[in-house]
Amino acid sequence: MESAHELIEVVTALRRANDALVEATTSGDVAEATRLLQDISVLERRRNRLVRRSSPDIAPATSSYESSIPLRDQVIRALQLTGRPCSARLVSDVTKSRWAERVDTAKLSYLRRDEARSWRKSQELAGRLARDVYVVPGLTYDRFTPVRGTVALSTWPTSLRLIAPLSPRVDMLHSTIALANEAQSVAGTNYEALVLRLVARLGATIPGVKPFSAEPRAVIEAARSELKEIEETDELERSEAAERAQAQLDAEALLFGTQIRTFMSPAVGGLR
Amino acid sequence: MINMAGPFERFRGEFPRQPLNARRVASALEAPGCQRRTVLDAAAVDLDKLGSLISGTPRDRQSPFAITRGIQFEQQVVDNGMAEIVSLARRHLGLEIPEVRQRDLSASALREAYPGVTGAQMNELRARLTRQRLEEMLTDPAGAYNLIRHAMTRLDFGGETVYLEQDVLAFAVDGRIYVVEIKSFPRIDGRADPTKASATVRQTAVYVLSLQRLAAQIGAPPDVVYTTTMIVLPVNLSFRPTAVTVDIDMYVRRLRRQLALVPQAAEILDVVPVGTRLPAHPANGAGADEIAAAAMAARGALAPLPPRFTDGCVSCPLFQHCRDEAELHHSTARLGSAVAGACGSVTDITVALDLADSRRAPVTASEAAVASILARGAAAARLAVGGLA
Repeated sequence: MESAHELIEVVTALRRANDALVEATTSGDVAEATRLLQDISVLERRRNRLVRRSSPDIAPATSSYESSIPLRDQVIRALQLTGRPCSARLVSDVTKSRWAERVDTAKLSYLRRDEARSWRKSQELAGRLARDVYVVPGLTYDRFTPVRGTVALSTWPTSLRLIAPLSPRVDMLHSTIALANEAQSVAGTNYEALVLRLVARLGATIPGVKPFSAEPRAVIEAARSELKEIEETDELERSEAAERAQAQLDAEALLFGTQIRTFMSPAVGGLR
Repeated sequence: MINMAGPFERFRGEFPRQPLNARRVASALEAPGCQRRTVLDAAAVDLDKLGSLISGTPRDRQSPFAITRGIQFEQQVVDNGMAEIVSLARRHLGLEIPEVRQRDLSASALREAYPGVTGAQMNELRARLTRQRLEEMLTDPAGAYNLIRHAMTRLDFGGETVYLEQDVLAFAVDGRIYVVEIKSFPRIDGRADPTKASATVRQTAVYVLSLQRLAAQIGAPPDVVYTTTMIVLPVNLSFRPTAVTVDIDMYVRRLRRQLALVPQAAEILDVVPVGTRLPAHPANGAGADEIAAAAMAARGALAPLPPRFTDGCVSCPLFQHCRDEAELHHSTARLGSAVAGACGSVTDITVALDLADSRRAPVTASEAAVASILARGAAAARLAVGGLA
């Protein structure tokens, strides 16, 4: 309880300093105002420390520009949350609403290239340890070529990383469910409103969800009932494709995809 | 090469070429019966460059902010497995819940799979893949894609192949294909800007027509491609999408008729003096004399091509030129389509005024009819100005 006492002291001092600051500013005393501003920021930091020490559950105020988490970790964290391949845009939306951080989606393609390079290095050099997880592209289910702007994790089963015709919708529904669950688990924190807003935006396109209704349980239920109609076909198409992929592709192509080599003559239009 | 070239290529000469797009084909509907425009379109002349060369003023471009906004809105609508389109198509086009099989045929998406394919080859590839997807819809509806992003079709415009990119194609398994067009001008209180809306409708008609032709090539009845189209717009001043369905059958028919007339544009060139052609466009930093000479030559090349000046001409890059020309010739068209229509076969303003004031006796029956209408109008105008006294 001693810290509570100290907290009251600090807050009182802070109030006094603030009042003095108003007076100094209105009377035009520049030197005094400068000194007071410094004092106030010291006092505020002390106050924050005391608050956190007394109840560690209170989340620290975050500011997005101070983020120093590497892009790679941001993406992996977002994908672990959604559990399904995501568009770059969704990764950035998730990161923004759940962690109040910005993801530069333009840099995502560089990330993908770096990941492929790093994976190749780890294969070449025996001494070099492979990373636990790589950010990889989602792959088309017929040709196994990278799907533009879609990222997945290398640790997921192959079938989950292949994008069949129904997969974009199925993955979107699963991601929405995951986010709705997350919204419930961050209930009461600063992030709740932001995550709920994202859930509402995604959920609004699911039949049975009222527009602007951000009730996570209703969204989950609606998403589940839509999934019931399409998920089975999707799983079938994906697992068939996964079997073909396992049989046809080498380890690298299985993660990072293939490219179709074309030889075309414009006259005949001979294109495969 | 010059020997091989058709009449249109010969007419264009060294002037910059600009491949046609849906908007430009649609403008055949805006300026019906304008032979000048038809020849320029069939020759794929860069109209913006021609217009600014002749008028001497750079043409207004769409604001980069407006373009960015358009891209952002479109991106948002097709994000997350085309979530917004899925929901709108279910509501407005009656797509069933499982009908969400989707594929992206954008150039940027295909570049991942086919590195090194660019330009015309990419267009060709996309047109081919679109055809395959359409064949699947007709042979194996249950396994086909229901939503195709950025499909590409071809349309023949007087021998010139135009590549058309549809925002989204929606396919219902019971055999209905729809064109979905995404636009970023807002729908405020249930109403969109009528000018923009009608331009969109005409543009969409081009897509529908080309798809109907593709269906016919595959051997399906063309009416599998519905003339009902879905237009996606932002609601009010937000970024939230809404959709309207419009039946554009009338426009598709009109467009079909217009396109059938295009090959006859070559006959227009038959009566043009031999060797009439556009000049080369002056290079960047060319002197004023050179530009003036090129502008003069361009005006000379256009002169034998008969324009049809109407209210729809405002959006044409040659508008200023044709308007000045109509004014120079005292054409009744200068006063707008309504006046020109009322004057019928009398196309000269001076003659019309003379008929109205009985300074000139009508020669033919139609002239007599016009004269009586104009005389009545003139009398009404005199009364209005001078009063009954």
